[in-house]
Amino acid sequence: MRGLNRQKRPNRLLQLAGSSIGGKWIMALTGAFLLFFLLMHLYANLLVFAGPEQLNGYAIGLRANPLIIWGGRGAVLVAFVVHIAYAIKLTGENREARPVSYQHEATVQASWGSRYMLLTGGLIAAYVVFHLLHFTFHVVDTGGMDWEAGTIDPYSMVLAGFKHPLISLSYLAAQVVLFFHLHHAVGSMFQTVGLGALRAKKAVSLALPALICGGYSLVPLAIWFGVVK
Amino acid sequence: MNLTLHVWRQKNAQADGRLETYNVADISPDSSFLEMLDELNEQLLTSGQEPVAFDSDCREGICGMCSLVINGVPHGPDRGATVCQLHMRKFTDGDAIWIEPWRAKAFPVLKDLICDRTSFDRIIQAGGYVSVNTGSAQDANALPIAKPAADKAFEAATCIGCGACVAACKNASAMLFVSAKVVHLAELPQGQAERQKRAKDMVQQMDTEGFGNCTNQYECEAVCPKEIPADFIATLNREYVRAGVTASE
Ligand code: HEM
Ligand code: FES
Repeated sequence: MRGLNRQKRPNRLLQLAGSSIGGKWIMALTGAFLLFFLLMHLYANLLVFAGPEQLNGYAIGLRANPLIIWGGRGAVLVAFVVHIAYAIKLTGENREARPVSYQHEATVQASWGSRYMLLTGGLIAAYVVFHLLHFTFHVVDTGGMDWEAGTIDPYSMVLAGFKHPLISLSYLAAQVVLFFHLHHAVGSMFQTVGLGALRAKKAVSLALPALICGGYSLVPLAIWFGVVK
Repeated sequence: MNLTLHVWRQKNAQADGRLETYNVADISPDSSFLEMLDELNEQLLTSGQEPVAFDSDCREGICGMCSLVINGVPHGPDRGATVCQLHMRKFTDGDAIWIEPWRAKAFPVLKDLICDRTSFDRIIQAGGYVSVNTGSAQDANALPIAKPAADKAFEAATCIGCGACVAACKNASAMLFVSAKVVHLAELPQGQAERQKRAKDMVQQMDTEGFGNCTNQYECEAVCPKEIPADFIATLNREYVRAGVTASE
């Protein structure tokens, strides 16, 4: 009997992943992993203040370990793609759930960031593509990228890149957009995984995005104002 | 008070509706919002027009029938109150007021301001109960319930199932309603036997009905006439995933 029942039952995880609440969990877990990546990447970025040996040394260390660099890149890519796929799926379902909208709309307490998550998310995706074309694939050449064969020098590349005010401005603008996404996202993440009543929720959903976006902004600002040369 | 009303009129479920404008005069600030609509209807009837159809029953905030979106806010400007408890003194002379039905795919409009909320009944039928087997009831005192659990269950049980949470939600999600029902029974010893199956089945029915997904904006909590907290949705999220991973059926 058990065997029979088991065959008829739809796969548990598939059922979870297709449900409303399961979808929310997937958004929260992939988002949490992306947050973890943002923190690691921030640490690496801030090494620019420690000097070229430190930053370049870190980059060389990463690349020396194919498991970390390719495993890491793969995991971030998967999390990013799944996050975006579910963002589109869930937002589509939400629009369908109200086919006729109100003639007189009102919002009582939903925050600005919470209402434009797909928009801020889309802008972040566009920024990530640009960022990869710039510092990873060197398609956007802002100087400092002609490394001698077999060596890498991200320090010079970053310094040369942020000497361009327009480049710096676009990176700073991306941080503002990211802040709005993360401000709603972090509080939302606690709620989704069942920690809605957590006392620290409000504080963390302000402090963590501020740390991430503020931290990243320091790099172009410091180069722009000549603090890092 | 003299008021301009923009009221959603719709002949039946199939017809296209639209906003119609009416003027009402000499409304007492002490009358309730629904009494004001009663006066409008008398005015329409005496001039040979079709009265505005809207739901109401108890008119004292306990049945959950009344369901008007007033100026974009379900149940209107008062916090923690149903529209039948709303009084005209909350408005000022000369105001224009927009009155619309709950809007959701799962709550189709039947006529004017009345919508079909039987999707909520089907969610309850899917698991929002405790199965009672026949036999004599046991002594009430034989089943101790801790005070905090009883209080929390009671807070959840104050939900009157009006659907304002759905109407207010930008995604027409029913998660505040479902969470109130799931939390209510999950807190009580009588609810334990079916706890996991209940969470699973109710959420599945909610999804089948075409309600949207919560995005944690808490518009529901702001309009709930019983002030059910959105923390219950966090509990539901936990209950559901636990049930999804471990439930035996
Ligand atoms: C740096 C990258 C990103 C991070 C760290 C991030 C993080 C998060 C987190 C933690 C959540 C909360 C999940 C929840 O509701 O529990 C979230 C929600 C969301 N994200 Fe992202 N995200 C990123 C990029 C994107 C991108 C590229 C898109 C899409 C195009 C996107 C669209 C959304 C949407 C639509 C939501 C749901 C909002 C809601 O439920 O209110 N995100 N994000
Ligand atoms: S008519 Fe019963 S709650 Fe309003």
